[in-house]
Amino acid sequence: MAHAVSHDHPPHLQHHFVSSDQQFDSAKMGLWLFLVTEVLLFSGMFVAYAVYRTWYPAEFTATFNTLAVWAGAVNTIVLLTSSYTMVLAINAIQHGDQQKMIRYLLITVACGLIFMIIKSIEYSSKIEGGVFTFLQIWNPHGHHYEVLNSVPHARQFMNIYLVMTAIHGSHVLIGMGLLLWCAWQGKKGRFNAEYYTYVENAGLFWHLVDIIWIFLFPLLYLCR
Amino acid sequence: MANHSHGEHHIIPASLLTKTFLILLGLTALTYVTAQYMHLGALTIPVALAIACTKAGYVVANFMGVRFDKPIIKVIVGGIMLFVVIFMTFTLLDTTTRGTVFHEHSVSAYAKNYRDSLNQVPERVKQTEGTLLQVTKADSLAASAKTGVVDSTAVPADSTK
Repeated sequence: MAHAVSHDHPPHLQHHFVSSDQQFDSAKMGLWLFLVTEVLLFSGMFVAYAVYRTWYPAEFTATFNTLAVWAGAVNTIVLLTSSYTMVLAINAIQHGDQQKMIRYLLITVACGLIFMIIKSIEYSSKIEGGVFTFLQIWNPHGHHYEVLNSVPHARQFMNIYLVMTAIHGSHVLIGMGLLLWCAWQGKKGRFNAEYYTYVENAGLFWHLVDIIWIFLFPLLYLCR
Repeated sequence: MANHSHGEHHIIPASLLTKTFLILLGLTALTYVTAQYMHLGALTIPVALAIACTKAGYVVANFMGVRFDKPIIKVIVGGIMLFVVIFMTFTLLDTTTRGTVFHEHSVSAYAKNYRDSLNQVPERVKQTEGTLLQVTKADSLAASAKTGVVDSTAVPADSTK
């Protein structure tokens, strides 16, 4: 038995796994358990959102009326597109096409970059309007934000928006890093149709980030 | 036992991926139109959440491939969904039914009735609160005198030396 295993031992197979399949399934399940903790992290914030929304419905929606719907909508489409190119990258490596995989990974990263650029446009408008609580700025002014002066607890609700989008945004940045690393490793010829565990798992993380945004977009930007 | 079958990963057909992507775009348009242009009132959030859950379902099933994955992954996904629902439901059961003692904007009928009853007898409430405060303070002073243990909240700062 041991002889048979060592005979066709692929280079990526670590010695404590019986087979490539077992190694792949273990890594994937571990990543799913990590995603569980990620969902719990974000659900804590969604619960905070729900509690404050039920306590102060009028003030809550008045605050969220100042958010830029176009930014949220464009970012939703950008992230959905990036999820699509992500699965196409995995599809490419499953068919053994490493170059195609790298191309799709880079498109996915580019989508993440567009997302972050739009996010930073939003944030800079919040800084200009004096409602960027991260920097202890709270001085709503300008025709768009001055209404918040008359909304009780508006600062608290703006905080909910900022914290949720900022933690989501940091996940987008981390995901971009992971995908760039996968593309770099692909360039070095590390992956093939039998072995692409890192790409698969980075993809699962990327999809989770997309799913979080699927909920953030209507709840923050649309329901008001 | 030599089942070291390599390359047996399930390959999700590209046509299904494209179809899923188009459905996701369609649902995004749907959620935008329903929330922005249709005045659904109290149904706005339930409708938006239903569409968001459908979209998330498509991503999990087809993009993350859970549909074609091992049963243990399905159990993990089902489990986390269950826990999020428990987390959300039981927190809201608490926070939406609390009295107005702590939160003036509570929506429950119980809270409203309680607030009304308070407004009817403000003197009695104030009286009770005042008495309670005095009793607490006197008790803690007496206790610290007896035991020699100093309660910093009850005794002035300069007398602690």
